[in-house]
Amino acid sequence: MERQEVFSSVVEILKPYARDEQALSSVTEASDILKELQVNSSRLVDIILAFEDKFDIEVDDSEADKVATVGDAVEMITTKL
Amino acid sequence: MNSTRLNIQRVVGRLLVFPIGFPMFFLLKNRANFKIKNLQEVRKKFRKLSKENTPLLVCANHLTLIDSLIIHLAFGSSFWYLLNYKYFLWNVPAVENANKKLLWRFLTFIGKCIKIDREGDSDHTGKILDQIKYCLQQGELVLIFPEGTRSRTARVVPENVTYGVGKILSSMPECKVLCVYLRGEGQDAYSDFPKNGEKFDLELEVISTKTEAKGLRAARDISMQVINKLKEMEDSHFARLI
Repeated sequence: MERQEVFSSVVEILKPYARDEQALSSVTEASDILKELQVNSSRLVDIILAFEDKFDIEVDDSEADKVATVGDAVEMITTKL
Repeated sequence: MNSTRLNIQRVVGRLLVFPIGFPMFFLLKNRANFKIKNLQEVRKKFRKLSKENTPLLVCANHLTLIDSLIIHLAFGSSFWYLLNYKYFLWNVPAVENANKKLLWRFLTFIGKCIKIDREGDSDHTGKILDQIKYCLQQGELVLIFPEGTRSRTARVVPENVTYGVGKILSSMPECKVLCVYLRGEGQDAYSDFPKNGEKFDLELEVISTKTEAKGLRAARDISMQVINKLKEMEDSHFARLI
């Protein structure tokens, strides 16, 4: 799967959780998931589990903890595919 | 994990639990006129549970800023806490609320509070969870609001559950959960404080959580078991009112 394709899927997964819709429309790999997209930190677990389901991967706690930006998520997923 | 701060809080809190706790509880009972309807039954049940030799995490619904204080008031008198300080619950308030005023800062320090920054990074959250587990392993009780914030709908919303509770419980399978459903008769929306003269219903139920899942799925699964129990208790509460 191409990196761009992973990026699009990640953004799609983030959509229902992002409170700042404007930030979502201009999202880049550098966008901070909590601060810029204003995702509630409690929902990060749901997002990580959605990544697992979508990409058929397994993410452990320490890997999940390192995901701060959209790019971090894309990087983590692509290395597992 | 550095437990020094927690140990200092415990020592200072123990020294001040009666001189500060007594007037506070007095004000709550006689100035604010708060009443727990089934006080004796709640205290009897809590004392029995707290003395069982198993870690106990207390999980409650959340409607006002002083829910934890009301729960303390319900579970024991200041004199009882003086003799049984171990059972004075640790509490995990949001740092932005706990540090709002100098007085609150002081009270939350001596009142066995572990302050959490809800917007904090995973390192911060991890440290807070470690401190909670440390307290539980020491045989102390910790109160957590699984919804993470006061319920904006004034009802338990399972979808809003945070997964910290599940993370703690999945790493401490021997730990039981004391679910507490607290609601004032006049509490029809979330607020900073209950109304003066409020009469509270308080229900207690103990559950053991179980899951076959691992990692984050285990945390989610367990958190859902806890919040669903609180929701069930809420439904029973309202069913009794009909």
